[in-house]
Order: sequence, then C-alpha cells, then structure tokens
Amino acid sequence: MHNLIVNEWINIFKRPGTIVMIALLILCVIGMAILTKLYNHHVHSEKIQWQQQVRQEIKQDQKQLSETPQTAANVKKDLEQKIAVNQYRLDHNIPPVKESTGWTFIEDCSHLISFAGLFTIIIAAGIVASEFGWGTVKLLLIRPIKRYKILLSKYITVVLFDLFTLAIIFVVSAILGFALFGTGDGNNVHLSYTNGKVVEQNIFLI
Amino acid sequence: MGNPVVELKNVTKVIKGKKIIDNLSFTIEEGEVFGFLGPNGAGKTTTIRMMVGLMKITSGEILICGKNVEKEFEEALMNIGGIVENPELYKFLTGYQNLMQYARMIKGVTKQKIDEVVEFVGLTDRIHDKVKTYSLGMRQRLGLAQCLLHDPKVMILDEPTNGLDPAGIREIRDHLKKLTKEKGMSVIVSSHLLSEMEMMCDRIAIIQNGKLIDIQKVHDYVAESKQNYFFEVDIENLPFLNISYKKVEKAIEIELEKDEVPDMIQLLIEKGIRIFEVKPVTKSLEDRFLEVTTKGEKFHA
Ligand SMILES: Nc1ncnc2c1ncn2[C@@H]1O[C@H](COP(=O)(O)OP(=O)(O)O)[C@@H](O)[C@H]1O
Ligand SMILES: [Mg+2]
Repeated sequence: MHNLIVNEWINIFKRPGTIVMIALLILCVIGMAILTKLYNHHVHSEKIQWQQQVRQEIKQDQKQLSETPQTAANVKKDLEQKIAVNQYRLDHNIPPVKESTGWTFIEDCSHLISFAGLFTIIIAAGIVASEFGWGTVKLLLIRPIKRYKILLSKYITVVLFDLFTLAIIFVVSAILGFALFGTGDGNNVHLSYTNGKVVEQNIFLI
Repeated sequence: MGNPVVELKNVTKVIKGKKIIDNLSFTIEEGEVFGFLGPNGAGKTTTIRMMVGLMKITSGEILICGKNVEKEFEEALMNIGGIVENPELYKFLTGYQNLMQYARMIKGVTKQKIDEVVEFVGLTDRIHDKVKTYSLGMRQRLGLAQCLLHDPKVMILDEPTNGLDPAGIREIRDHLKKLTKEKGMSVIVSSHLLSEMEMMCDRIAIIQNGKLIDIQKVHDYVAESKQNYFFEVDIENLPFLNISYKKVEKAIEIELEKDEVPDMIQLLIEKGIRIFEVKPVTKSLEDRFLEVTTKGEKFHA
C-alpha cells in the first residue's frame, strides 16, 4: 500500500505539468509579496494620525446605525461590532494594522488556497483517467494486487497532494513574509468580537 | 508432460448479447510455448483479457496454477506476467523508473533482479533513458522485462511481434525460447501470422469466431519426413523425367526426404537441367490453417 502511494507520487512529480503547477503557486506568492511591498511603501508615506481617523470612523458608523431600519438586524449587528472594536482600539491604544507584517502576508496568501485546490482537482481528475489514456491501466490492473487497493492509494495520493500544495503556499509565504516584512512590533494584534466582547487574538487562531 | 499451468474450462464470453468466445477449453503445460492463432477479430485479445482478469468471464472458469482468476485474483495473478495488446509504459519515466514502479508493487523484487532482467532483454545501455525515446522494439523488450520481474510461471503476450521488423521479431522469438529453456516458463502468444507462430510455438490453437477449431503440435508439421522441395529450373527445356513432380511457375516441386535431395540434384544435373535454386516448401501449416479456417467459415455460414 505504502509502495503504491510512492508510485503514484513519482508518477505525479515526473510529469512536467505538475512542476508547472508548483512553479505557478510559488510565482503567485512571490507576486503577492511584490505587490504588498509596494503597498507598504504607500502606507508609510501617508503617516496619518490613527486616533483621529478611528474617531471619525466611529462617528460615521453611529450615524449610519441610527439611520438603519430595525429590520436590517444583520447590518446593525455588524456596525455595532465595528464600533465596539474601534472603541476598544482607542481605549487600549492599539492602532489598526495598516502596515503588512509577515503574519498578515501569510493571511493574504491564504487566498491562494483556492488556486491550490484547482490544481488538486486537475491531479484528481487525471490520476485514473490518464492511466486509461496512456493505456498503462492494463499493466496496472494485471498486477497481483486487488483493485480497491490501487484505487485507494490513488485517493490517498490526491489528498496528500492537496496537503502538499497547501504546505507550499504556507511555507513559501512564511519565508517571504518574514524576510520582507518582519514579524511586526507587537502592534499586530488582531481584534475580534466574540460573545458580546472585544478580544485580542493571535493571527493563528482566527 | 508436466502439470497444467493454465486451464480454460468451457469459457464463454457474451458482450451485449453477442457470443464473442464460445465454450473454449484447453490446457497449457509447463515449459511450452503455446500459440493462439486466429484471424483478426477471432477473439484472441478477449480470451487473453479474461485470462489476466481484465474482463469478467460470462461462464466457465480459468485456472492459473490451480487458482481461479476471478475468485483468487491475487494468488492467480502472482503467476502471470502479461502484455495485453501494446506494452504501454509511462513515457515520461525512464525504462528503469518504469521497472521500479512494477517492482514496488510486488514484494521481494530486488535491485539485483531488476538488473538481471534488464540484462536479459538487452536494454542495459538505454535503461536510464526516457521511454518516449525508445523504439517499438525496445518498448516491447521493456514490456517483457516488466513482466519478468516477479518470476511468473506463465507469460501471456498478445501479439508481441505486432509492428516489429524482422530483426525485432527474431529478438522476441529468441527471448521467448530462452525463457522456456532456461527458466521453464510457459509462454502463451497470440498472433494472426502463422509463419511467426510456426517458428515460435510448440503447440498452436487455431480459433475463429470465438471457437476453438484445432490444436496442433507444430512438430507434427515441421518434422514430417517427406516434404515438398522447390527446384527453380529452366522449365521451357525440361526433358522427360521419370519421377513424379508438380509444375509450378518457373519451377517444379518434388516430394522428397531430406536425404534424397542431393541425389535428386545430381539426377537433374545429369539430365542437363539448369538449377537456379533449391529450397524446402514449408507451407504445410499455412495450408492447414487456411483449410481449417475456411472450413470453419463454411461451417459457421
Ligand atoms: N468490449 C467489446 N464490446 C463489443 N464487442 C467486442 C468488445 N471487445 C471485443 N469485441 C468483439 O469481439 C471480437 C473479438 O475481438 P478480439 O478479441 O479483439 O479479437 P482478436 O484479438 O482475435 O483480433 C471482435 O469481433 C470484436 O468486435
Ligand atoms: Mg487482438
């Protein structure tokens, strides 16, 4: 069984198509890193008073809240939460994270997961079908191995491939993120609103 | 002879209401090369597919070394090395990587064994090249290597010489001979070409329209004591000959024993006949093949 998975794994990675997919994923992460770097530069040059801005935001949200009809309960709730979080920022002197750090970069890169999912789908679609296309299925099925084992190993390989692409995104974005943007300076606390209270969270717990 | 390695018992295959294989029964003994001869569409591939478990058997059973192919799949297939139709291998892998794929699927195939098999089929120089750069003959040989890895009792090859040039065909033939001689394997080969079968096989089963028409020992034909010999002579100025012969185009055919051939040549020369060529006529099996298959056709019609 383990050997069957090794076989499938080799089969996937000896094909040029797979290498292109992996390269594309890594290029995407690099591309995002470049964009983020440019954006960071922009933020630096602005340098605005964040308290003033946050106060303005709260005022605006409160105005909107009073205008919102009672029936739009969801909208009201969202606004209330936003106000609470902003108020918490003012009270505890936590500036909003505008500038990217390695942590936020990883979070940004997590949007690429759907991209990785697409590649996994391509692999999954081909793993049985292309054996038929190549005609190799005949040699595969006349091994003294039960059919279900062959199919199961193909399934496990697809799952492993999915995990592998996720790992690539995570590792590459972590390396690039921390190298380019650092780990941040303790201001990178993420605020969220749970059970009627605003809480500080680590980015990993979101 | 020894034990039956492969046994077909009343095997029938029906696809979409059409009988493609009709009540086929025969056995294959240890160490023999068994030929499976029939015109295109006779059902050779279908039978082989059932033997290797690629296709369900409608009724009847196939035993490989006493194991039922359908009920004891793993045990039965352990004894088989097969190529169905063309040996399709992973083109993006090297020959060696292909062999590793199959080696990993079976316990106890050592690196040493792989090298030995590669050596056997004569691919040592090219084994680390990608399969897409191989010629058809080399692919066939790699296919052969791939089924030898687990030392099967029986090799089943569907049209192994299809598309090969005479040199390639000869290679395959020599390999199969070596296998049966050195390793005591049985080999089943199918073909629609009689001349090939004649040279490779110990026994030939002729099938047509899914029915077994005849099983013959090749020996019976080839070692017949009397044979026709073909004498290409100057047929225009043929003097009277006090022997029975048959006139064919630009030549005569005389039935002789091998020992009598020099005497006959001497005799013809003494008569002043100019001889251009002398050769034995070995078409007895072909005649037989055509005879039985056309008879079968009539019977069928
Ligand atoms: N899957 C199938 N469906 C319908 N007919 C088939 C199928 N496979 C084979 N046949 C028919 O069975 C007959 C035998 O085919 P095959 O075994 O490939 O012949 P051979 O290998 O001797 O040339 C042919 O007439 C073919 O049309
Ligand atoms: Mg065929």
